[in-house]
Order: sequence, then C-alpha cells, then structure tokens
Amino acid sequence: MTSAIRTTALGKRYGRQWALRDCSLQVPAGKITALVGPNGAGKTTLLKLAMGLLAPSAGEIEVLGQSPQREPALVLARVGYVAQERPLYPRFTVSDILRMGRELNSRWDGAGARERLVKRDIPLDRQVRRLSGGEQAQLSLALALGKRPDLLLLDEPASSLDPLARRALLTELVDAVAADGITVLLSSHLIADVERVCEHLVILSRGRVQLAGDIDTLREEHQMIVGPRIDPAAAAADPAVVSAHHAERESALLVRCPGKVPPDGWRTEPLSLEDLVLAYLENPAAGSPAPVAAAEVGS
Amino acid sequence: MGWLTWRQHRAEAAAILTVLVALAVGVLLLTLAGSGMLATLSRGCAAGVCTTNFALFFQSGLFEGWTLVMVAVIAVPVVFGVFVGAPMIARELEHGTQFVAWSQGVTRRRWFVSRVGLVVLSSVVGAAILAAIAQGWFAVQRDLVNSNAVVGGFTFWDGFDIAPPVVIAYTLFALALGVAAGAALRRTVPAMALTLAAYIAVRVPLAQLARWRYLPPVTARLSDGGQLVSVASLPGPSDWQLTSYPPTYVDAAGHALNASSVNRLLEQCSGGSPSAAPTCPSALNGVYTLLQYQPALRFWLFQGIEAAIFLVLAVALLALAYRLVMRLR
Repeated sequence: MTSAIRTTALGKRYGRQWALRDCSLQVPAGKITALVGPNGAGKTTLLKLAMGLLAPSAGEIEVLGQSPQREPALVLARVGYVAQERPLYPRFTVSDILRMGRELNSRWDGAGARERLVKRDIPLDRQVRRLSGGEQAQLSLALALGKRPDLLLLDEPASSLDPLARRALLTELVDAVAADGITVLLSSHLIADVERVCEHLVILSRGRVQLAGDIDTLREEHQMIVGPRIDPAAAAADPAVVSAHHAERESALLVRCPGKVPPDGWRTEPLSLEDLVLAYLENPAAGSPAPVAAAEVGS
Repeated sequence: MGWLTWRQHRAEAAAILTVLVALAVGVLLLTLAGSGMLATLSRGCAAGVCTTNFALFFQSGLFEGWTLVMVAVIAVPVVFGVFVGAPMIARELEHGTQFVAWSQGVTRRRWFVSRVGLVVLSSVVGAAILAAIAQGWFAVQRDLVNSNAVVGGFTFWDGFDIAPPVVIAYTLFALALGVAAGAALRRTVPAMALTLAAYIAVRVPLAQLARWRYLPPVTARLSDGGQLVSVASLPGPSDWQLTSYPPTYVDAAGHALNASSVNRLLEQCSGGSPSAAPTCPSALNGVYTLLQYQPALRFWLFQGIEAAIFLVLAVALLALAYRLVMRLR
C-alpha cells in the first residue's frame, strides 16, 4: 500500500493544549479516506498540518513524499484543500475565483472547473456572496479540483448543506476521484456520507488515532454479539470488547475479533458503520494498535 | 499573484488614485495661479507699486492654499498606512480568507512578498509624484511670500515635510506600520487606529525634537554689545534659524543673561540694518549674542538622514510583519 500521507508521532500543541498527539497514521493513495472524530479531536489540525498551514510541534508528516514545511511549493502545487468555513473572497465573481485559480496554480484545469460549475447552473458572473451555501461549496470544490491535485483535503465538506446539495457535492467528489484517481482525505461528522463515499476510515479521538483501516475490513472484523448477561467488569477488561451494554439478563457487546464465530448461546446482530463509529467515539479508551487474536468472550 | 493583488485592491486603488489626482490637479492649478501672480507682482514692483500690489496676493486666497497643500501632502503617507496598509492582512484574517490564497499553488512567502511589494511600490510611486508636484508649487509660493519684505523669510526648510525623499520614506513607514499592525492585531479597525496613533507618535516628535539635532547647529556670534561681529557668520535667508532655540545673551564673563532685559536694551539701539553698525546703550558693552542655525547646504543631507531613519523603521516593521504572517495558523 502506498501512502499519500504518512505521519509519525505527529503532534501539534496550542499553548499547553495538545490538539494532536502522538499521531501515527497512513492515508492510502488512490482512495477516499474519512477522518472521523468528535469536535476537538484534531481533525482540522491534522488537515492543516498536511497542507502546511500549521507547523508540527512534534513528530513528522510526509505528504506525497514531501515535508509540507520544508518543501511548501512542491506540496502546495499538488494538494487541494477546502477549509471548513469554505472562505472565498465575497466580492469576487465566480469568474474571478476561476481566474485566481489560473493565476496561482501551474497545473490549472480551467475548462474542467468551468464545466463543473456550468453543469450545476452556477452563474459565472455572480458574486460569491450572492451564491447559496451549496453553490459556494461547489465553487470551493471546483477551485480545489481545478488544481488537478494528486491529493484533496476536505474539512467537513458537506456540513451546513441541505441534503440535496450534500448529495450533489459528494457525487461530484466521487466522479472526480473515479476520473482522475486522486486521493481524498475528508473529515466528517456525517457517518451516512462516509458510508456512501469512503473506502478507508480513521477515527481520531482526543488528538490520537483510535482506529484506522479499510471500511470493509473493519466491518468484517467487528461483530455485534448478544448473549446472556456477563460481568460488566470482565467485559470492560477484555481488550477485544469495544463497547458493552448490559441489560438485566442480556449483554450486547461490540467486539473486534477477526474471523471468530460467536460462542454458543450468543447471536450476532447487524452492525451499521454508524454503530461501529459511535461505539468507538463513546469509548475513547477502546481501540488498540492491533486486534487481539483470541479473545475469551462471555461464558 | 499580480492579478490577485490587483483584483483585491482595485477598489481602494481607484479611490486613492482619484484623491491623489484631485490633489495633484489642485496643486498644479495653485502653482499656475501663483506663477501668474508672481509675474504681476514683479511687473508692479518694477513700476514702483510693490506694497499695494502685494495686497493682491493675500486677497487672492493663494496664501490660504499654502496650509491646505501642506496639510494634504503631510497627510498622504498616513492615509496610505491607515487605509491600505492596516487592512491588507487584517481584513483577510478577520474573514478567514487568507486560506484561499494559502491553499493555492503559491507559497505563503511569495504571497506576502508579491502582495506587500506591489501595493507598497505603487503607493510610493503615487506619493512621490504628488510630492514632486508639490515641490514646484512650493518654489512659487516661497518666491511669492519672499517677494514681500514684511512677511518674507520662507526657506527650503519650511517645505522640509513635503520634499520627495521624506514623503517616500514616510509612506513606506506608514504602510509597513499598517501591515505589521494588521498582522499583529488581526482586526481591521484596531489595526487602523494603532497605525494612526503609532505614526503620529513617531513622526511628530522626530520632526519637532530630533530634526534640528541631526547635526550640531552652527553657532554664530551675532553681536557684541549690539555691534555686529561679522555679517558673514550670520545665517543667510536660506538657512534654518533655530527659533525653538532663542538667541542666547552672554555677558563678558560668559554668563547667560535674562533675554527680556537685554531685548529692552537692544530696542534702544539706533539703526538696525544688518549692514550698518548701530549705536547701542553702554549697558550692552561686553554682551554678545549667540544664534544657532542649520545652513541651507545641509537641507538634502537632512532629507537623507530623516528618510533613512524612516526607511530603517519600515524595513524592520516589514520584517516583523513577515515573521508574524509566516507564523499565522
């Protein structure tokens, strides 16, 4: 697996507060990777570090084989970035934004960007401040894709958009990735979106990587099993148990044990990606470098 | 970057250009009117009606134009600092739009250097052209005022603040101050206020308190018991007499004397023209007067010194602004 982004013990501190700490992860090339985590988990910080907008306080980050700090020109030329607030100059027209893209980027694809906007019925002579939120998001994405990036970083691209605009944006994204084979790292709160478009998942929590892997693999590895009530302390102590809910007579456990059949008396229940992600987010202590091979669960 | 800088600043560029052109045209018109007046006056003087004709000048409003032009040219640099320099970085940071440019294919260093460089360069060119036009006006006004023996005594030094070298340096300083204040405070209005306050705080004391000391003044021994010591050593009409440094009376023993009592005695001297020796009360015997001035020859040297001071400050402020911008997150 080649990596578009590789971080080693990466850390970023604001004053005494660590926004990101001891973060080691790899973002696979050619895939759409979701960066998921609660507010303040360090998602935006990680994306800004990758873009070179922030300097790391500790550790290393390598983007497309280069350091964003030491080689900003090389990284900036090949990486597209859409910030969370999607700021654009409010008094620029759509054409002005495209012109700026042309002036500031060596590999600018003006025809492609224009076509993308025309397809969405976005008038080229309209000022940015008169565009709807969805249109501004489309314009930001068109600007980022117009760079012909090898890597696209999107910070909450679909938040604050209505469902239709969100779907249009994600469709645009998937089409672009399919056409050009670029790598995407997007942060999102919306697990449904992640499920629709992403192939790889990274869960950040409290500035650390809690879980990372291909979504299909993660789904295979995790099971929701329900059986007779067990001792909550025993469940909590078991490293394979991600989360446990104990009713009066039953226990429901989300376990990570690849290839294991549940013990007698236990049944599996359908597990959605949302359940999986939420289970990790609810249990910041859960998550491990590697799944434990043989875990003794229940009876 | 050039296009983006132009696109982001074209509205204020148009506004400032309009003001500058209006000022320049006004100054040119005053210059023309002044030249015409000068010609009329010199014809009148040749016919022997100098004094009556001179009333024309003061009634014409040209003399009032003096203050207007001086104030306008003196204000231009700080206007650039407050309205162009201060918002340049601050407005982007306020609206979060810096990330638009910073996530394109140009490095932050290039973004800063081209943006600040282009804006500063074009502002300085504008200010310099206005100052050059004001120079022509100043020469005519000086001749006009000096053609009246009563008012007289205007020198190059009175136009020190509007000469091109210092106007260029003031403009650079004000812009650098604005950019640095914007990068430090990250908010437009406070940055504008700080720019205005800091500019005045540096510019006024330097002009009032420091300028006349750039080189030690020449000391002339003006008179000795009311008798002129030497006409040659007196400040000429183009020298800068340091009036903020009044003539010092010294008695024979070398002690400073009370100025007003000596002045009363001096008023009793008969004759007063510099060329004829006056006769004065005997109490003035042994008393002599020191007068300090900066010679006319030092004008451009002083321009250079003051310009250099502001240029050094401007470079330091731009370096500070660059560091701040590179560290922004």
